[in-house]
Amino acid sequence: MKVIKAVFGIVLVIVVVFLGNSKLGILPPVAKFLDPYHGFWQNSEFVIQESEDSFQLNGIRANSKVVFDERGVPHIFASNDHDLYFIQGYLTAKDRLWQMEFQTHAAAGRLCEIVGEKALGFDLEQRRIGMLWAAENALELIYKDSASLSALNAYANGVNYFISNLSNENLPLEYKLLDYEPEKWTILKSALLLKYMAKMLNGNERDRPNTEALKLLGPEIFNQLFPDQNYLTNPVVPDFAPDTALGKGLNLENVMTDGNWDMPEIQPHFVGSNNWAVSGSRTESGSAILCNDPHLGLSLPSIWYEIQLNSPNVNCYGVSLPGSPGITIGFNDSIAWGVTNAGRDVKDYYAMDFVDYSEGTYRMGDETLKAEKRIEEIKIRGGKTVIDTVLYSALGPVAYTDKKKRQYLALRWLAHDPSNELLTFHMLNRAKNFNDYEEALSYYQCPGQNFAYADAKNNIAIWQQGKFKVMPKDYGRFIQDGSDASHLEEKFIPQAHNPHMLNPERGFVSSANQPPTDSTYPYYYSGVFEEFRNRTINNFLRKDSSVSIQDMMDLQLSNYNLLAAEALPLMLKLLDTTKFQYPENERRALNELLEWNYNNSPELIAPTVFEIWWDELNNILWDEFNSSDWDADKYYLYSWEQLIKDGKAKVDMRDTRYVYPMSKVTINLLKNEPNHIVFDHGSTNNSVEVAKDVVYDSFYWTAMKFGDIIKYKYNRPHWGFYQGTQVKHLARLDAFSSKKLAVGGSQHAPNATTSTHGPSWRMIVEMNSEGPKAWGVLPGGQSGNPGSKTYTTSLNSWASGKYHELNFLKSSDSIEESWRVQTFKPIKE
Amino acid sequence: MNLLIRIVLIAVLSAVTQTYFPWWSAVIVALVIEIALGKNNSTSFFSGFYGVAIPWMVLAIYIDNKSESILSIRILELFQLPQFRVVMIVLTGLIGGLVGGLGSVVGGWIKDAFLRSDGK
Repeated sequence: MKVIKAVFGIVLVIVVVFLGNSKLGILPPVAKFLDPYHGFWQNSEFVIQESEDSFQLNGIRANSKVVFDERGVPHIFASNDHDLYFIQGYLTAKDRLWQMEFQTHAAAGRLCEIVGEKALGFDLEQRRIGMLWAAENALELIYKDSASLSALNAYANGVNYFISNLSNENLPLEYKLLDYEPEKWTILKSALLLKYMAKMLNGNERDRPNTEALKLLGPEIFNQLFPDQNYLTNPVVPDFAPDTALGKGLNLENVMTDGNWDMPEIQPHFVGSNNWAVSGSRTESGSAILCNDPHLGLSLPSIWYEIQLNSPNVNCYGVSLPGSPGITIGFNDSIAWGVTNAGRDVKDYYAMDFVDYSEGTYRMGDETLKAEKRIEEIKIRGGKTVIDTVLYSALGPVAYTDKKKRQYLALRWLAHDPSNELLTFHMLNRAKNFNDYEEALSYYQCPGQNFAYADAKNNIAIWQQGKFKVMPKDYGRFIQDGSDASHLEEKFIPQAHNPHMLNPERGFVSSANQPPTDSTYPYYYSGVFEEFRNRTINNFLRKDSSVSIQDMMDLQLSNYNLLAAEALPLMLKLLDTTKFQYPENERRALNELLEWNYNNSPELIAPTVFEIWWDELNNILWDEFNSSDWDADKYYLYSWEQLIKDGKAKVDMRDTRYVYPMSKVTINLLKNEPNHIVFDHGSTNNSVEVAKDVVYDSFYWTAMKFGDIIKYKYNRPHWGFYQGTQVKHLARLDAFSSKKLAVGGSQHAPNATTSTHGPSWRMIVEMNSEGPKAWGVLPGGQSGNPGSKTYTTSLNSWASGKYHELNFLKSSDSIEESWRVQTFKPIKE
Repeated sequence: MNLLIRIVLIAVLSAVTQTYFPWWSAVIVALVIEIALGKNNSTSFFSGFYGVAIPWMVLAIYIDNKSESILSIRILELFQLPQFRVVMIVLTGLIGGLVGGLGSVVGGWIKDAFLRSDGK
């Protein structure tokens, strides 16, 4: 009996040890995680840290010094480039390993290996759009360039040195929580990271919604609602007209509009950025100033890793992407550069005519071709491996398929082509003048960016660089016929014909995701462009002929909402106050708007009313595009539930097959064509509505909702609270995210902050001849560890519009007392 | 007195083993000490419980003070527990205590089966 009990006991111990070591559902392994010797406790960073002054690093060739300033920004002083990138890799991994690996797993479609089956849809899509293939193609070119290859290899070795010396207790927190371990870093992962950025920044494809909208509206109304965008003023480069022959246009009648394409939801155009450079002739100090604030999805750990890189060949400061060597946005002694997204469409979809999909045979022109098969193995944590076969046609991978309807869409994405963007940044880090900048850009292909430039000799420039196809009018806007072999004949716009200017007379250059050119530009392009921020920025820079650093900060932080300034007076003029049904609510909402200065400041109430009204107006006006669930009677109820649930009164009942027309189109209709057929509600058969009706109906809902916000939301209808910007942890864990921040802003204001997106780095650089002076701030901090004080060091400064003066060090001796200095020594054999 | 000696021995030895081995080495220490020194089974749970819970809590308190609770509060928020630092420390001690206690109880059973043949 006692023996049985003892045996049972031993089994029990084994079972408990096993359970205490295993992930149970969403819970981490309980005992392993709580164990204070190895578990999460070990990730708590002590507030006062003791660290060794010198440190052996197996893999570097000579002694290097690293200075950590008060925010934990490393300033690496290495005696050669190899050691420089080795240490960059090592230190970045130390602060950001989990983020680096998670993002590249996501890029490669390998999230299922970490989180299990729930990521299968995501992983499958990543494989089918050819993310890994694109990264492999990029590697082919990288292998041919020794400079970028050796930087990548040194960086990877630094990361791997950190991983191989990682003890259980030092494993980053997220690995402990999700219970897995890091794998070896490779240069393929660095290439994947750039494709991950390309996907994020090329998300503005409209091929399917345009095709659907054309089918719904017919060519005439379609062209009116979705016009080409070069009619807008203030392009990045005005009057840019290189000599070239024009291609023929497509006939919209011939666009294939049959088929309902099963594609993912359309990304709303939140992603944007500002950059500008002002010539010394228009600055207080007489030196050129460059500013950049890239707006991305706000996340923790911060998207960027701030760093200074110094070796005999380079001395550069700025922000890097964790996972990629070098600096992406920054400055050196001679030049400063910053980027914004070009927003041009570089993804084309073709409906392929498969003879036999399982065989991979398809028709193109007079021929029958055979697609290559690529087998994708998706390993699933706690499940069986899924095998997916992706067909690669001459026009790219077949990304979306509906076998029942025999519909197959191939994706031709310029990010698939071999390219080495890394070399561009490698050269920009070292650039001395405009010629170096021009040469660096020649290697840049995708995702297309506007590179602003300023140098210490008072030159300023901007260049929209990327690989762009030469296309006839309307090409690439719709799903096209993949059986037409002429699609294979591709020509690309030469770099010299990409929009650019050096030292323009007006004394400044700028970009804010607007169209790159006006109608003088001979090449056709389409894309998704912003229509308001650029004008606010240009108006400011034109008016002020002697700008100071403070002016530049004020402009980056400006909440001036030009959309509101243009739309609201029209809406108020059309609003018929005699129709008011609940004057208490309606008057209250109206009064808020009457005295407004069009600033989306966090402490104001008017922006809340306006933003709700603008949303409601669009939802009611564009009911043509709303989903069949859209029910005018339940409309209000639905949004109210949302308001209770997450504090956001936004209604989004739109059918995701469509995208609403750009705001400028809506404003033009309100202004010039108040009787246009689009104002008529689809749900009312007996009456014909005009602009006035849409304006009143939307105002009515706005006023009612606003009344409820006042009544139930503890009297906090102020824009900052209502918008509630949150910087979310990469794995969407609230506990590791920021609280809701009352920062204000609008996607149409220079401070382009929404509830989820915003300036991921604000930088201002003054290119003095005796050395640059710079200011910057991140919505987060250096460390990626939620158990570190520097995880969110700068978050409050960012939210309240403060900047840090950046410590661009001349040498490792010019430091302040409170900073840490570490010497890294090679291990002698 | 014997219980106190066992608690101290488990605490010290498990602290040593856990610097080299995972958390479950503490369970083995509790089990072995109980086999070696356990008198009767009425106190066997407590030797492992306190022997593991106390050092786990002491270390947790030390880390929590030095790091100003930055992470313990986030972990409590993550698992939707009341956000007081003492909760995380007690929870850590409790889990350590339970696995340690299990080790010592089973140690007692093994001793009963194979070493206390006199049937006491």
